[in-house]
Amino acid sequence: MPELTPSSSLPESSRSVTPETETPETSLETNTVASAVAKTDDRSAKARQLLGMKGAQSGETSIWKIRLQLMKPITWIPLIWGVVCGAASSGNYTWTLENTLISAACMLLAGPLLTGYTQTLNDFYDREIDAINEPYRPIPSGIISLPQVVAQILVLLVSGIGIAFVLDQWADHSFPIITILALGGSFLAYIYSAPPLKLKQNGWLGNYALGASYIALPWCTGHALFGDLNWTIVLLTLFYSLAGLGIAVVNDFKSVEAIAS
Amino acid sequence: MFGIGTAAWICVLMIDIFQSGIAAFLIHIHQNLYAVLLVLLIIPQITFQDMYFLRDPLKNDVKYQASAQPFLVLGMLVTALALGNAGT
Repeated sequence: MPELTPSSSLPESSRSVTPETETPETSLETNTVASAVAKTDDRSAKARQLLGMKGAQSGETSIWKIRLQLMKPITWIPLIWGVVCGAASSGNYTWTLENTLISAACMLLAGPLLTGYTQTLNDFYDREIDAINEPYRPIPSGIISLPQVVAQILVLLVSGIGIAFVLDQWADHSFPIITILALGGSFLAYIYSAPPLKLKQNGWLGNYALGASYIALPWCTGHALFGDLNWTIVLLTLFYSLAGLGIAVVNDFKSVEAIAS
Repeated sequence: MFGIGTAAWICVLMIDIFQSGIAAFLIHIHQNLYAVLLVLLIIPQITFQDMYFLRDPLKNDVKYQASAQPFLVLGMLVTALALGNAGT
């Protein structure tokens, strides 16, 4: 759920870059099979890096790849799924070309734009801790400058809110519920990562914010886009998000593990 | 705050109880078929909790997530389809 994806979708837990350990030592290998395996490992490490997953390789230099890495694409999946659920629960979704394009725009809003914003923002506010614990990450390693990161955060946020507004227009909402949900979610992402609140430092509240962001927010957005968002759906998805809270806490076990080792 | 074992149990209970609560709601709105499907998707999660996570939470957390989450995620879609069907 939050981490509703297999390995890791939470800002806290999906640390993306692992240094040397993942780099195969090809120079010591004369065996061709072993070096072929090493090559595959190398390629998958690069893919993992782009997706923002654990066990990635460091040393990337292209600014666009760094930007994508900051947005942690692997974590977009559960949000996109949430939009699908919302469209389904609205009961009004039909497979027309128009609806398909509109739901794709809503997925773009939930995944790349606003989750991308959330992840980049989280790395931005974690830069000082990361400089100590994970100095090879994009921001502390200095591979991307701070003004560039801030620009990325603002561009993602503004485009996200912009698309939300357009979707409200499409759906003829007299009350701009999708824009409000997008603004609310963006604000939640801010107080999750940024001082003085830093919700993520509060285990239960922070993890519930995550659970709700991964389940209730995209679900309600998808539902509002194709149907009428009502309190039953809001409360039910917030209830479902409590299962997401459990998942988010399970993800914290990884950090415990890291500290222990 | 809690020991590892207790924390693992709290997580597992939250995951199971709240999904079961959703299944109960689906029965309440007379979406019995979907409720049964949801319960059938919760059972493998409980199995993986017992097989992996609760036995060694620190070692098996990732393996548990990878095994159990597809079922939780499918349960969300089942619930969504039930709600759409009921016109909630």
